[in-house]
Amino acid sequence: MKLETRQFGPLEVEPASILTFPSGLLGFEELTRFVLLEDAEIAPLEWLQSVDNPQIVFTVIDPTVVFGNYQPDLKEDDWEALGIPESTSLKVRVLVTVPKDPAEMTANLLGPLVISTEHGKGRQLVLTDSEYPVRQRLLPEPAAV
Amino acid sequence: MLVLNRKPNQSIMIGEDIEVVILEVKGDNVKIGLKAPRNVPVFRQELLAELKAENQRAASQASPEAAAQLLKQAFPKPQA
Repeated sequence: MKLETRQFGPLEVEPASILTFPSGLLGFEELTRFVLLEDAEIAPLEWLQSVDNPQIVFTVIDPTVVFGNYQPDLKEDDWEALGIPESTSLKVRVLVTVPKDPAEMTANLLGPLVISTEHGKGRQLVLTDSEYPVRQRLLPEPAAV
Repeated sequence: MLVLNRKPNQSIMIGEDIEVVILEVKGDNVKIGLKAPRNVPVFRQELLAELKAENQRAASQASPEAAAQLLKQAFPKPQA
């Protein structure tokens, strides 16, 4: 299928590559279909392009690139919402927000995304029992001058 | 909105298996206990609002190419 995207212009999307987020993303509950796109231009970041609204694209990162031991736990209701067996291996991505000064970019570790490419499913978790922040810097604070 | 008056140690049932217990009232703080099945997510409202706002912020950001460059420098891929 062809999308007319803001970021990439016309974009051909393989139906098999579409990931369904049954609950959407928080604040974007109506957006339930996404594609995860690798792009050498922005590696190690990746694009999470909405299929339902081609104007909307997020940037995500594999948290292990920056936060080695970050491993979110899924609760029973997360698996239920995903509708996949609990043994399924999942890819983890966190949303990255880039403000005007890119050195100040942050990752949302409290609300990570888990994705099963095998089942074409995804979900944004809310790690209520954790101390993870909504805005975690990716780069160290600049040293004081 | 349904409004109910409760005293400490009294509770409210929501359906058959969700119980909200008022544990303690101290000044402008109310300590609340929640008994709910494990598959019912319970959040502080501000937390959910914060995550929604952060997603909104993430969706309306500048182009990430410069950010990617900084990440490449800070976290170079291990050489094979």
